[in-house]
Amino acid sequence: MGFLGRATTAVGGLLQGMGITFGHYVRFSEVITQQYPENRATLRMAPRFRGKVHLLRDPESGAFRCTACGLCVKACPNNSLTVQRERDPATNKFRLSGYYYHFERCTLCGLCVDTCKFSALAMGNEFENAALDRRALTLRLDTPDGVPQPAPEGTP
Amino acid sequence: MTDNWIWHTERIPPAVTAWLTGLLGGGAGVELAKMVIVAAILTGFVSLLALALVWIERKVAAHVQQRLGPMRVGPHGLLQTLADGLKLLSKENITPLEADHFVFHLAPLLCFAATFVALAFIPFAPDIQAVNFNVGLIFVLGIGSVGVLGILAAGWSSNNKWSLLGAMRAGAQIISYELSATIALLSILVFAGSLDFRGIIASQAGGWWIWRAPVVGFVAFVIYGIASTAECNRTPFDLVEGESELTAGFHTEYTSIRFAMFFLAEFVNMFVVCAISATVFLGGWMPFHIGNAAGFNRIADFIPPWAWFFGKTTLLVLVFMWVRWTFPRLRVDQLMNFEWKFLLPLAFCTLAVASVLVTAGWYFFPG
Amino acid sequence: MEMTPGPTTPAAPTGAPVYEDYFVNMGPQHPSTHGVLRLVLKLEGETVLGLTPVLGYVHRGIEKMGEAMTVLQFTHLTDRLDYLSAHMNNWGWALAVEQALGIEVPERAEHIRVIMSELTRISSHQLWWGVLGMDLGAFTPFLYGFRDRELVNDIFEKTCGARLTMNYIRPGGVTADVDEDFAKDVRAFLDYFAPVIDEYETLVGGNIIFQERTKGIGVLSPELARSLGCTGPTLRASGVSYDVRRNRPYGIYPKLAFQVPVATEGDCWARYKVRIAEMRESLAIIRQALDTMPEGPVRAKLPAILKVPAGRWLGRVEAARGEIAFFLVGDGTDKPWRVKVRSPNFSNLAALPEIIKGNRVADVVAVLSTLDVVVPCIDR
Repeated sequence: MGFLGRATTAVGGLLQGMGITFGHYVRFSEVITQQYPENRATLRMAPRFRGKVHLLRDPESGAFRCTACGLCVKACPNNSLTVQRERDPATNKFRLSGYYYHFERCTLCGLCVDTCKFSALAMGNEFENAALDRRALTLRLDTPDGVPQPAPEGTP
Repeated sequence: MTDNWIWHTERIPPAVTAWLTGLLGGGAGVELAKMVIVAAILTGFVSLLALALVWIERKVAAHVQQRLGPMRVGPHGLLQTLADGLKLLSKENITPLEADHFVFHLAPLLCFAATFVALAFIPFAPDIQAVNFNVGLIFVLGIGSVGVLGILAAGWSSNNKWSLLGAMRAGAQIISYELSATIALLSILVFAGSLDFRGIIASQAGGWWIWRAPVVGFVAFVIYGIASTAECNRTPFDLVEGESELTAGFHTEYTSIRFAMFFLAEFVNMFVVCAISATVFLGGWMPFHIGNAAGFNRIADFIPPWAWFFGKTTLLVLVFMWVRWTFPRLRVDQLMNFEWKFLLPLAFCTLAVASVLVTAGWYFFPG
Repeated sequence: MEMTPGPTTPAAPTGAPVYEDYFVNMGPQHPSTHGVLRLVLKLEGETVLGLTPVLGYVHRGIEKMGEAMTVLQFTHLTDRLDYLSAHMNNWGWALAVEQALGIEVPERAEHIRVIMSELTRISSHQLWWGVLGMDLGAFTPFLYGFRDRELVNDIFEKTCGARLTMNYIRPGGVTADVDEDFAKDVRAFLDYFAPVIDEYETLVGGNIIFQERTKGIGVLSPELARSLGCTGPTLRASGVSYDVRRNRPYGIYPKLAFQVPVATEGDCWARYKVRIAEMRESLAIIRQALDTMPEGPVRAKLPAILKVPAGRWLGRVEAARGEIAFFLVGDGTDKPWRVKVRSPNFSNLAALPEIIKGNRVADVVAVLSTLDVVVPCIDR
């Protein structure tokens, strides 16, 4: 092809590359980044996004759907869930007395949600989950108002 | 309206001299005072320039990459460089134990002083020029070489194998590309007929050399552009700062203000090189006139000469940045190959053709 | 590579021997080593005489953990091997378990699996392309690659719930049916991305500097590639046409029409070309799978406890970097007796010491980049 031919192709290639970057440079409005945290008000995750585990309530009765069967504990690969239960003296069935979630171990795999037969668990949408203290990461989920609280130290 | 000092900057030096003579009564004191004032203005200018250039670089990079760049510190991140500078200043100044202390402290100053002095020769507007020699251009090119000394000094005195190797590479790179740069400039000097910056600009009254010297002007412009990119250690010739010996090259051991000086020197060097290019190829502070279009020429004259100068230089700086964010870097052997086997022969040919054109008068508006 | 210095020059005036070669550590923390990889280089001046990778910095004991988990629990760990081919890893494990338990996967799930895998392949190659540009000094391709990868990540997020560790393809099918926007989003991505590949080629491939840095560098001969077990684009760039999707088909690949790009030179440029071509082929595969996707269930009915019978099974898939295979040894309980992961990156990296000899230091980065190594897969 000759030296001149190769040189022309080379320069042409370089200029075409420059053309692409120039095109993006002058199209100011094509910015693809988001200004976080200023855009928190409008920031939404996809509905199926796997955030923290939530314990769900039945909308009519207001009680937690969890029957303390313990299947989620068996499903979890790394012991991130602990279910404490007691016998209800009236019905002689088990009921939930403490649902503890070790967020520091959770890999957000979603196996617990898959396994639960009573639709008592769901993955939330939050992603700002950092904490300054490790103890804030072990949570009790079956609180009266539904807001997870840090669990007492030494919870298994 | 265009009759005041903004457009006629040649009135400023005599006015200042007259004011100072009135204040100090004439003699050596006036000259000394002028030098001090000019030095102070230049220092301030260099600082602001570095700030502005770094901000422009980050914004250009950001927009090429479809993002926004600094946005938080100041409106649209204008104060970001200031914040970075303050951060660098507040870091600890470390000197390696086995380093050659005198040379280690001298190196960043050498780099910075070289760029600073070169800036003193650039004509920003009619008569706005810190120093004027009749061999100004040669002097500026020579001063650029002192910058290389600074790099080599930094690499040697760091007492670090990899810094030394990086510095040697940088030295070889800069010295090689200086040749092409000088020959490319020479190709235009034979047309301009003068080494003095004022003379070069005056010779472009009939038209800018980039187009007035047919083909040679443009080729020399491109050669100078490529060679000066290598001199400033910018991509695609930035192996010095890239993976050079897997560390940061010659300024590995430098921290805080000394590192800031290397960094500043690099950006101001880029400005100097673009300013030289604008002066020699694009007419410096001369406005863009089209032969007989009186209306257009009046509009062009409406823009002050220093605005023309900064506009041209900024345009060239933006092209430098555009190239930096597009191309990958060359390997060191490819870089040397490119210079010695391609760019330098091309520069010599350009010089030869330019000489022929000048002697025969085969260019636009000779005489 | 021997770690002893080589020959010395005749004694210098001081009497001490002077060695010609020296060792450099391209340490565990380095912007260009694609993970936590330590390379010990033996150099003479600029030339590389030998290279030793030092591994193990990202070892997490995944194979051992496999012995303590049920087969269903292990899927979330497979994501974390070669995390850029997460769906393929999931699929490989699912294949092994489905063979062991004799599970039949619904047709719709097979189509979804193919679409997800090929999207992952494109996403992985987009990242590879960006990082290759960045390693060679052009910082912009990195941003462009990630810009386009966002679209794929958004598709994953809407359907699978996560962007990196999806845990979506499980033994028996996939966890849930696709999101309602799925078909629309995927088609929009296919239409958007086809011309963008041309832009990629112009910006990086058409650049003479890039070509000079990759042509003729790090040539991998087909014999060496076969003997080391290299797979994936690394192998195909050396002229050997081996693709698990063709040679050992799984899923619905036998029904899909696609080419397997092969190059012959075996250098960095060939590997680059093969991966760019693969991106285009993946677009065609996704389109076919999406057009012919039937309705139906997406998950087979599985018993509550999956007991792995005694025996050995192998599930192998074509990940973005080569053939990843999961060897499952069962002993009748619900936890495997042994899980062994055949890592494509391990074999690909094994080629590096041989093919880098004689090249320069700056080429180490280029070759490592085109071998496209993800270290967590090597260390497991």
